[in-house]
Amino acid sequence: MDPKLKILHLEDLPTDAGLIHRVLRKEIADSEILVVDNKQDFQKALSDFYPDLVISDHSLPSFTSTEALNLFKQAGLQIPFILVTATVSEDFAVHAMKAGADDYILKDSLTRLPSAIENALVRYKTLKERKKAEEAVVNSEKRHRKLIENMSDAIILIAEGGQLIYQSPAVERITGFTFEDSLDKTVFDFVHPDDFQDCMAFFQKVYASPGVGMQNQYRILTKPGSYIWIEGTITNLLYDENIHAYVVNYRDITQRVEAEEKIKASELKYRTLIEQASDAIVVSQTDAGILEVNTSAEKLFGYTKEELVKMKLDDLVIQEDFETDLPLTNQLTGQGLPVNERRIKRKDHILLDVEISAGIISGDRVLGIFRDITKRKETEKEIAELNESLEEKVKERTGQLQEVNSDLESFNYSVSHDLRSPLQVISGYTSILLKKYGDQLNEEAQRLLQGIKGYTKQMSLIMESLLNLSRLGRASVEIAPCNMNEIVEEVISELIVVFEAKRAEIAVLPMPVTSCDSGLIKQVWLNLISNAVKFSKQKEVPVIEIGSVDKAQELVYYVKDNGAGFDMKYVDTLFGLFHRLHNAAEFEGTGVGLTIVHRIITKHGGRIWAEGEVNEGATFYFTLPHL
Amino acid sequence: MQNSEVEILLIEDNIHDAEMTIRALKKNHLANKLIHLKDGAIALEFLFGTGFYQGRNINKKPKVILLDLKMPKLDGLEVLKEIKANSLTRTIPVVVLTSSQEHPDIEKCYSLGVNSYIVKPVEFEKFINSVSDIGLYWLLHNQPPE
Repeated sequence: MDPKLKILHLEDLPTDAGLIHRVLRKEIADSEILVVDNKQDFQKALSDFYPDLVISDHSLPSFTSTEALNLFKQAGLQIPFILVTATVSEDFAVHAMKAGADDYILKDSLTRLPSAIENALVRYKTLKERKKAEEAVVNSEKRHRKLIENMSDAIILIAEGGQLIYQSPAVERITGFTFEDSLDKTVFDFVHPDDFQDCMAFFQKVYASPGVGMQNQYRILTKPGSYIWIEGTITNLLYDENIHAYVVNYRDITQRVEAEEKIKASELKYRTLIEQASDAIVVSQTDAGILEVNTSAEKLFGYTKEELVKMKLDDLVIQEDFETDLPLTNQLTGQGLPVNERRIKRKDHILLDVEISAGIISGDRVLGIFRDITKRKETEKEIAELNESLEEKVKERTGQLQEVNSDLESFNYSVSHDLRSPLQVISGYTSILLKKYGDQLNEEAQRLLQGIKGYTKQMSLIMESLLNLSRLGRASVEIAPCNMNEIVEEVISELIVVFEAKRAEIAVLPMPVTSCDSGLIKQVWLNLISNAVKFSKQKEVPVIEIGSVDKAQELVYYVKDNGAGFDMKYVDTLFGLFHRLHNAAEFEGTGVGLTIVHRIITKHGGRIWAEGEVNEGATFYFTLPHL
Repeated sequence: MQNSEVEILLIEDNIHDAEMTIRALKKNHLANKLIHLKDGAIALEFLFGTGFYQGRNINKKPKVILLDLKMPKLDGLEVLKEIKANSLTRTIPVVVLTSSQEHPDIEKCYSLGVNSYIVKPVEFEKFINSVSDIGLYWLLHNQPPE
């Protein structure tokens, strides 16, 4: 109670006032009493004096207690009004109480006044407090409503059957639906068909756990027809007598879900990549050890995923293979170990050669890639062994070849010696027969002996050519710079003696210096030019041209004559051993010369070919690579 | 013939080959003082006065030895080696006559001190020319040491 009780007293009789005041002062410790006796002062005091209590006489000269009570009401003060009167009728008392007086006291029983005042004051205080409390409730509710209405999260209340009881304005902002849109529906009608079963089951769970907020995510329909992802908390407050509903607050998480799905898809992609990788991939962290592994890692190390994630990288490698004692994960995160060949120890204690490379994921996390190189190592070893055995084989073969060569040499020797000797004798005897006994023989016998002589000569020529050819097979090509023109002139000067080729007009065009085996190439020119001379001998004026064409990759040489030529359909057989396009009566020969030429040019890495036409001459070309 | 003068010693196992050579030499009348021995062993006996030729005056040396390489028993190379290894016979010119230019021992012949290495041509006319040239050269033009 206030320290000083302020009492406004409406009384026109000072004696009555004094009497009442005495009673008041006696009973109320500290009070201030203002006495007014007219309407005007009363009105003023109501607004200026801030009374805690009004005591009023009933009959005053200027106005009555009824009027006073009306003024008092108009002022709207929440304080007790007590009527003190000399006489009162029952009716009046009822009337006064109805009009708003809190109590009435008869002047002859003033002793009741203090307790009446106290009662009234207590009543008013209680009243005031209740009013204050009521106001507080109202304000609080207003505040909450405001909050709910302005929240970005949607709030709905759902009845036990699923009907919407309330929706906050955010619902319309999020879904586009108004409360009226849902009137003849349940909230389940808005859930995506794929989520419906889940959602129903979830509600049952929520129903079974009253008062417990439970969170979940579903897709719900929006007014435009599309679905959005929401995340919500649902609490069963059906039992709460003020609410009687499921309370749901939810928000739109479509963007988040879509972003998450993108991340998931990307993660799945990389996970698939890693999982499909044939290399073992191990994610390791400095402190935590192995975090993740792929299937290839299980295969390589022989441990299961569950076992591997309890291990450290260092448990899998051979420590001596590394220059430092630093844990492998640190080494890898440090500067990213360059691709390196190391060994790993499998669960079954088998050591395997691997190639380790790493990708740093973050400061202390690393992606270790282990490639099994056992096969490669084995292959390398095999290659080394093969090389070694190859050397052995080469040695062996060289030995065999040497044997074959020496066989060949003795064969050559046999051919040239053992076959030539009888030929010499046949030739000799025939000559002697013809010379000494020719006159005793008839013409036919002489002709036959001439035949024997001729064929003996032919046979010796063939043997010589064959020996040349076999010598060629063994000869190594010794490349040195050669003056082609000099070689050709030398050949021609020799041919003129042997073949009496003086008749022919031989033109030698200037040719560049080249690199070749001059001895072998001389043989080529000899064979080609002597062929040209031979096959053009029937011409009145044999014309032979020798020259070269410098091409980018090679030098092309040619010997062109105007002689007998050949039919191009036989061109492929020209260089074959013993192939002859002309009979011996026309042009003598062994059928070996062009084979020798072909072999020499091939040994030089060149090519040889010919062009010709019957009776129009032939041109033989050969190439030598630029060296 | 034991001690008669010998100008040409022909060592040749094949009688037909020998006949050809002898005929060629006869053409130029060079075969009058020729002895033909049919293997290397007997040839050495002749040169060193041993075996069959025991007591022969070994100072009567041939002016030239015509030697075949391919012979049974002692082959041409061995004969050549013995001749050139002995101071008594070293100065006698030795001409190897062979049918083949393919002989693998041509270099060996020269290193053993052969004086000529001749490949006999197959054609009889050419053969006669070659052998005549040899005979004329070694018998008439060559001046042996005394």
